[in-house]
Amino acid sequence: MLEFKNVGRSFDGTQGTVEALSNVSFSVEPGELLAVRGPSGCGKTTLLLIAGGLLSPSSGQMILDGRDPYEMSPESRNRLRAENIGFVFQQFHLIPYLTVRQNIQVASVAVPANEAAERTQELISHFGLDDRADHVPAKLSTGERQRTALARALLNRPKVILADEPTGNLDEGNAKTVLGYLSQYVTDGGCVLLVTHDVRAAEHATRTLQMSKGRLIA
Amino acid sequence: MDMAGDKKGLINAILALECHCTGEALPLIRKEIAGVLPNTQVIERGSRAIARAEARTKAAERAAAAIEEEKEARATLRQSRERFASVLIPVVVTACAVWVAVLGFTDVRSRRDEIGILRTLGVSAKHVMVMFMSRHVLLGVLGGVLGFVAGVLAGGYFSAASEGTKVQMIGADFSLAGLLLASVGGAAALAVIAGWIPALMATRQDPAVVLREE
Repeated sequence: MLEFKNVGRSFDGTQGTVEALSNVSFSVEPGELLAVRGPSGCGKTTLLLIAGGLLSPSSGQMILDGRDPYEMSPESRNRLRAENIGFVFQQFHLIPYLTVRQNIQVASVAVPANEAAERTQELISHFGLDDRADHVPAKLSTGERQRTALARALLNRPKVILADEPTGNLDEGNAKTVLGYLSQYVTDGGCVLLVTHDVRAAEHATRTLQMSKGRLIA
Repeated sequence: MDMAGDKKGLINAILALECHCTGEALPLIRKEIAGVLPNTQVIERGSRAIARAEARTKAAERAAAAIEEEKEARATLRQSRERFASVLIPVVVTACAVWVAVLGFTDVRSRRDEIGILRTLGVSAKHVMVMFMSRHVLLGVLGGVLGFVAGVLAGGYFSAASEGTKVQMIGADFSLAGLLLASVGGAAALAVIAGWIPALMATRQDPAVVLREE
């Protein structure tokens, strides 16, 4: 489903070139929750952005569902992302002036209009957000925010979910709930690439890779 | 007068009644009478009437002069207002455009996160552009309507105070409906022009940069 082939990424900074990723190769298949662990600044987010078609690699190749998104036009890459990927972030990235329902529907770019409303309601119920559906993010607890973000990530029935420290801002109970939902999604045939430094999150993974200074070390 | 010539020694005075002669006409009358009745003494008896007639004439002249002066003053005032407006209007329009652009840039900056996440979720650059431009157009239309209402009220107030109740646009004759259309259309067009660059910046926002800054 998702394959990295000798991917490298460097950034030009004021103090010279910084190698954020170097020669990274791995793949994730449906039914798999791959956790990439490592300390802050080791290149986890860069890895996730490349996987999401948001940052082109300096070297190597990334294949998503048999296609290289970086060989596509920006609009085709957008479409590929909208149809195949769900994103979950540590900071939730909900739009502050939209309600829970509207925030979930924001991801409906690749969902037919008549299905979007029904699917949104289904996810609201699934994540226990019925009585919060018309609230804006500021009125929600952190757990509810992350569940809303998770519902948004699932709206387009993605083939892969990319999760960047999804439990980083959550207490133990909420972290367990979110990881439970991700595990369920994998059991249902989905595929998750989770980057984290949280041991609890890694415990739910079907496979774990360790990262350090832009390289996979185990 | 001719009849009076035949009555020599019989007439010793002729009264001219209801005669509205002014002082300037008196020498002419004296001359005419001397031609018919030589050695006749012409005595001015109704001097009060003459004075009133002279006063009326002078008052009429002063009134005519005052009206002329007022007309000239108004023409001068109008010219100076038109000159002022021809400088002020471009300055105000430019200032408004700059202000809308500044608001647009501020809007893009404050919504970086939102734009980043929308682009990440696959929302197209065109859609983001439409999102920002529609906001600018809406603000422009609202501004145009408010400007029209404020302008008509202010115009009505000042024209009632100086030139009667007619509201006029300097340099052009517009009906109120035409003026409303011009105000709304002009304001919306100005908002689109001024908002174009900020909206373009929004579409070029790299979501990866926003997410890496998290």
